[in-house]
Amino acid sequence: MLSTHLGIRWLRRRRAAWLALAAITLTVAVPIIVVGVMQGWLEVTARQARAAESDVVIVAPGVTGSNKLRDRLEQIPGVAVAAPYTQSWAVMSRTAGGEDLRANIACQVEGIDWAADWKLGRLTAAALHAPPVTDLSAPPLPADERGTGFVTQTWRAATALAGLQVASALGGMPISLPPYQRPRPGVVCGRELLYPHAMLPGEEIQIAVPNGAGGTVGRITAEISDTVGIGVLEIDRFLVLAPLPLGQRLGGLQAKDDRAARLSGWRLSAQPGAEPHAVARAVVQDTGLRALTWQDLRGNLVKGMEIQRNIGALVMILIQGITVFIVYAVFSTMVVELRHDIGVLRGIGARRRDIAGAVLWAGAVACVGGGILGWAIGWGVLAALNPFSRATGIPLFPQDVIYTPEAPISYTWWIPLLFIVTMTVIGLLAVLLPAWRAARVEPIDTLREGA
Amino acid sequence: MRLGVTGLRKAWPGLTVLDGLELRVDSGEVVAIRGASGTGKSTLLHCLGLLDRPDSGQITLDSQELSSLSEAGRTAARARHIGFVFQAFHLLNDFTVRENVLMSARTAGLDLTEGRARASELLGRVGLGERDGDVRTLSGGERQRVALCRALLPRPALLLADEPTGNLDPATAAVVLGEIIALAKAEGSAVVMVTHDPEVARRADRVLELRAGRLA
Repeated sequence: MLSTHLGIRWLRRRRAAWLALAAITLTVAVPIIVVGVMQGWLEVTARQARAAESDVVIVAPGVTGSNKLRDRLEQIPGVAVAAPYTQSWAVMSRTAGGEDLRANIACQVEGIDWAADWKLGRLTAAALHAPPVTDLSAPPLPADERGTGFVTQTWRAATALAGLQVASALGGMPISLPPYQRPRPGVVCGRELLYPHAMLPGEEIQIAVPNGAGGTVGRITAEISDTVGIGVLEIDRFLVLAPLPLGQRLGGLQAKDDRAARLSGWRLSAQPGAEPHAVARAVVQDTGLRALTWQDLRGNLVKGMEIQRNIGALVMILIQGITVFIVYAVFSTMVVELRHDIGVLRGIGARRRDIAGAVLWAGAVACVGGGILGWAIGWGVLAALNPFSRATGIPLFPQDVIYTPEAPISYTWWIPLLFIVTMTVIGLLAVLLPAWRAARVEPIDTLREGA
Repeated sequence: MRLGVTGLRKAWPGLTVLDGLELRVDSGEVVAIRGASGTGKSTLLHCLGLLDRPDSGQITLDSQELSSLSEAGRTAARARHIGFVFQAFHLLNDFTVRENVLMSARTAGLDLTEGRARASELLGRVGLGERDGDVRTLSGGERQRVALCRALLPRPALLLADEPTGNLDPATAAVVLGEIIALAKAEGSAVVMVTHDPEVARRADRVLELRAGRLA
């Protein structure tokens, strides 16, 4: 095809075309880097927000926690696992350290059945114990003591002591042991809840749920067994995970007289491939209880970041628009330089559309070629970000701000595609006028000039 | 008769360049047109080559009326039926020797495989069978031969040459002129050459003088 042949050759032989190519490459590479990080951040945040929630939550204060209801819930199409929970807003304070250190701290206590909760896929070890890279104000439990949930260090010691006491009772110990003291129950606290108050795992705390009349609905004393670092401030700042019976005691939901123990609701995980909203609808239809998906509960957090990402992408597209002027200038110059050749070509029978097509082809090749080059450079830079950060010690994404071990990066396919397509469209628009001018070159004029 | 021109008229404001010009050229015939500068020789050639529109008159090529064709029709006729050889060669510097020759096959929409074979044949006939690469490295005579091959590749019915030897030394001019005449006759093209060169006029079948807008 004549247009292709001419366009590619003209592009290759014009030095100014390399300027256009460089501009296009840069304005594709930079948006890919910026939006790649924004999208990575969004994906990490979505994962973090998702880590604190199950697919579907039944919000039904006072609902029964019977195995019969659990079985019924797990029979609903699309439901995989059901786990009970309680939820209470409470006040946390130290039990030691003097009056001035006993600040009342607002927290949200979730009573959970740890084993059932793990089956949901919620609060995975990674979400619970993201390894900090920078020195946070206080370190979490050592790695070999993580993943123990509510098992505190005191519990470990007490368990060992209990074994020794059994041995002592059987006469196997040469010395008498101290009296056995039942350890406090363990609770897992959000890092952002503990660290600003200089509190550490192993500390004893008191948690109370006020009844609004000067008293309490429930009060417990517990030991901090571990920290939880989802990475979402609004979760990590308030979250306290407690064993389910403790949560029920705090919320006044424990068994009383002839009343069975109750819950704040149930968390459900959807079967693979099942859509959470469809599962929620099925639950509502079957039980009449209020069911929300994780998107209903935490969706705004992700949507907010989506809006930021979209604005970022839009700004990047506007920046790409600046390339219009460079591409236009380069191709206008090219057409002026080629005026003689275009006249000759028209003289020997090249059609106007062949000439316009050649200029457009050159523009398209520059845009797509520069776009693909920009794509490679963009992803190359993204791939080099974390190694660069590690090698230089420059924290590009401080770990005390976002709880990810490295800079969040997304290699989602639509990002390069978006910026290559927009660049191509923008580039072709910039080339339209030079192409039209090229097609209007009259052979008689140029041949007269060159004669 | 391959080319017939009747009543051709072309005027610029205040100046009539061609005034009812008549011309007939047969297949394989070489016609040289002479005339003083400014008498309209190039204008005549541009009108015959459909690069310029006459004010009135008819141009027929192989019985096909050309002067009333649309812009697209004139472009197509230039590509398929008319070959040009210019004094300034007008080769395309971004393309190699063979690509320059093959360019007329591309504009005429000819099969490129056949076009390549024909380009090799023509270049071989003018002694450039082994030459390729950058056209800027060619001598003037070689450039004009390449331009001739480009003009003749689509087997045009009409070959128009505007001072084809004007930029060449006498020895090279004689060789190139011989090749133009030989190739055009071999292809059966009607040839119209505009020239000041007496040698060119001497070797043409007919010599016509353009004077006061008419050929004599």
